[in-house]
Amino acid sequence: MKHQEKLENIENVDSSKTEEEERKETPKKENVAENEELFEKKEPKVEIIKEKKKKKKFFFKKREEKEKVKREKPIKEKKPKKLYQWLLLIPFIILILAIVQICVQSATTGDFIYRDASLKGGSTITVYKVIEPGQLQESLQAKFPDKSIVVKKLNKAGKQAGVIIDVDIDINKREDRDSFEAGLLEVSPVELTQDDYDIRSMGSTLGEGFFKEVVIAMVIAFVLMGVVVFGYFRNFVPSIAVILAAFSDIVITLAIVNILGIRISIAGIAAFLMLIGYSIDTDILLSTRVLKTKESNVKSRIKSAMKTGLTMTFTTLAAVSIAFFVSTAPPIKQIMTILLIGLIVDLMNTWIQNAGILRWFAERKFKHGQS
Amino acid sequence: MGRAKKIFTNGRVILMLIFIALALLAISPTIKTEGVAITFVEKGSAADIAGIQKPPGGANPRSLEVIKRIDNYFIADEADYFAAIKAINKSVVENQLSEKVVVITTNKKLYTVLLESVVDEKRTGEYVIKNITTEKNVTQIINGSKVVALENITEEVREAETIKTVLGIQNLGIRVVKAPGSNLRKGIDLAGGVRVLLQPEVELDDKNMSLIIKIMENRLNHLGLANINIRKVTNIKGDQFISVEVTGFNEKQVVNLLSQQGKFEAKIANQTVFVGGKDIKNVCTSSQCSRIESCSRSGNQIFCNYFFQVTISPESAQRFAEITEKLEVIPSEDPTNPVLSEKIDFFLDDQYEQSLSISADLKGKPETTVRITGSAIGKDEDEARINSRDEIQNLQAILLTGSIPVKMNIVQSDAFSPILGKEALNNTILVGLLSILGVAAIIFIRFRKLAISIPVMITMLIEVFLILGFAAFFGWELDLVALAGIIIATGTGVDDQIVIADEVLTGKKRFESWKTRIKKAFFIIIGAYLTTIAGIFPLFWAGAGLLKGFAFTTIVGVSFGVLITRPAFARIVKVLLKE
Repeated sequence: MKHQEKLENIENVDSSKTEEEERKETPKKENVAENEELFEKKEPKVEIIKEKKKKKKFFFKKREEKEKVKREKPIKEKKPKKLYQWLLLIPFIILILAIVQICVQSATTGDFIYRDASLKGGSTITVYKVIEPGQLQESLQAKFPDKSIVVKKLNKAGKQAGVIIDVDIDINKREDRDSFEAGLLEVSPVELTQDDYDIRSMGSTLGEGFFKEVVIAMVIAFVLMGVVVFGYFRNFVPSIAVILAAFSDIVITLAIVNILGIRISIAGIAAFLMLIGYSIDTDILLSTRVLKTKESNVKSRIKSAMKTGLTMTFTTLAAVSIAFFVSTAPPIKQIMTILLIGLIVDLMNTWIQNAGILRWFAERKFKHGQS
Repeated sequence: MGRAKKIFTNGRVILMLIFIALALLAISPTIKTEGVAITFVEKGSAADIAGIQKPPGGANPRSLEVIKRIDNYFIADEADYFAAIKAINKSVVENQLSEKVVVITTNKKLYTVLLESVVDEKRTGEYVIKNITTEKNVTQIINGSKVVALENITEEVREAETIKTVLGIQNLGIRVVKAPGSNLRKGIDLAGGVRVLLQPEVELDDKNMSLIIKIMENRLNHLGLANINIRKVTNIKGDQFISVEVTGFNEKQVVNLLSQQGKFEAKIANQTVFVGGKDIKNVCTSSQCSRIESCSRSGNQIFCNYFFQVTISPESAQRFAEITEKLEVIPSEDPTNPVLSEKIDFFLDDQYEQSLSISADLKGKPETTVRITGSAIGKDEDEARINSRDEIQNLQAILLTGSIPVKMNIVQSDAFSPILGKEALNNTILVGLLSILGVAAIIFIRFRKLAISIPVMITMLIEVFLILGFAAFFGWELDLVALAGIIIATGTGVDDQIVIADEVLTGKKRFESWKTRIKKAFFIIIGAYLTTIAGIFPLFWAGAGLLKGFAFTTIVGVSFGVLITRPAFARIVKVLLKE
């Protein structure tokens, strides 16, 4: 009960200051940090795809300009831009940087993500023994100079639990695979038996086909989600805001995953699809609270939504980060990594981007409604 | 007590309880499992003759017949089972018994199985003279009248002397697994085993598809592996695949057996005598007529020669007679054993494999027993013997089942260690439980009310249970990604419960009626639900159904949440918060 009273008090003291401060304090800091990280890592590559980048930037400039024009209208009528309107710039800048990253990635590697063997063809060997990955990669590479081999560490609760070896073996060449397996047993500093590792091999045609399919599945998922959102709210701007938030979540998460050099597997794709569902929960909560609640002003509606929404995200974050640290199974680990990044990105996209657009929309509508 | 009554008399809560009961029924877990479950009974085997039934395909794990005892050996797990078989085998060899009656006690019945010994007959090189006395009717003329009388006539027969040694006992002909503790099926990555995805080179109609699946099943059955699951899958584009899952860990052999078209031909002077499959009536698998004969060193490798006998159809035997009739008899290295001028050549998938000389006394005879030989190499004798054994099994399987009409390409093959699978499962269960605790902790920090955080925790556990029940009921396999789906679905569930709790608490302050608050909460929940479904739905088809398990558990999980557990949760919270 105490808690409720407190809440009431805060809402009654209708001061925009406290709210702005609150917002500055929590999500902004993280976002700025991310922002800088993106900047640092991306800058050197930018030249290569100048043209593409220009196009994208142009597209977004146009959009931003449009928004600016819209935003400026009420400003001309009345007071200067509010803080939340300025804050709106942050998610957009990050989104643009993320798109730049993905374009650079596509231009340099010919692929917008790093695919692991399950999406490209080749074999993945997961060894559940503590072996130094760098050394193993070197000795394997020395033994098989014509193969592209990547050895990564597999962690459990911060400690190494094993290694994951990715190698481009043609599934139809049985001898290659057998000799690689034998070579691994030979060079491994720790004695290995068949029970110490799993091998997954994917044919390159199936891997490629699979990759295309999941990309199509993702587009279909996104469109379906958009249809549901439109059907649900029957209101253009709020629906677009929700869809934009989901889009930004995926694109920015993808860019961060790329920067971290994570090789995405089939399970990772599932995580991205899950992210669509997850990130949208808070957006729907926000839009519903803002659009369907009659009492109090928009600001406090957003605030009440934020209270619920942050709890939602933090419980999920708690579960996801526990799973991330404790799990040893590579597919689960990857799903959790992507969700972890995605949920943090979603904090920004829901509570700055979506909330900002919605607040601007609702306040304007309110005025129009009065006049 | 009043509150408890209010909770448990509510329709929504009762509905949830009914579903929990159904899930319990579907999973039917037991705490203690003892014995080994019979998963397969070979046709014509000792077990089959004794009346042990082969379980129908797709039978629930808990409905399998469980062996509790073999003779005096109690069976608790697979290790006990193999130990018992070994002990019986040993006693048969020690006492040189010609047969052994074994009593198998299952949870359903008591079977008496007659097992024959496997006997090796070796010629000593000596001959024994045996007097064989036969009774014959002899007609004699006594005193001018014919009298038919029985008379014993003794003949001397020269026979090769043999020594019989009992090598062991005949196979029981069943496959077993540790008796399952519930109806939940573990995916191949958790159970350990091999998963192979094959793609036909040309499109197949349903008839050919089921024919190929049947052939593959027969081939794998011949290997004597534990559990086989073969099914047809398609992807978004409609490409056909055959997915084969086999427990037991010999990926190489499985892949070999499936990727081979297995067109076996025996030719004499370029005329086909018989082909694998339709012309083969039987393949001898006992050690009398199928074994490794000798091993010898060549360079740094060891060669082992093996042979096995097959019985061919009478028509093929007739062809053999016709072809050999025209051949000449020529002398061979062994002067006492002349051979025919042409050899019999064996081809596998149009590649020449081996030739055999034909003994001269077979000329023009419709011989139905054919000896097939071959050799395998290895770096030491053990390896050469293992390779020979694998090759014998492989060839026998191919000969018995015939060729697969279409070339099948291996497009994916995964091998999972059963030990690691077990670890991964335990780890994931731990992850799930810790996550639930973590979520409950955050909820408690936020609401500071046990009346909310405890129901949230219980609801999460119930949701997990309902998903598992659903999976057990439909016989879905739970793999790692599906388990991730369960964690995620319950995570979404928590989100919704927070919405309910918040809507209830803050709405109260706004003097909204209970109904409006719940209505608003469910508006959000349904919206979130529909978008989640939209996001996951396409995964049912993408990628030859590899993410089907994930899509399935997520969609089932969120649906159960929205339709069953969340309405009940709303009710429970209402009562607990004294509305």
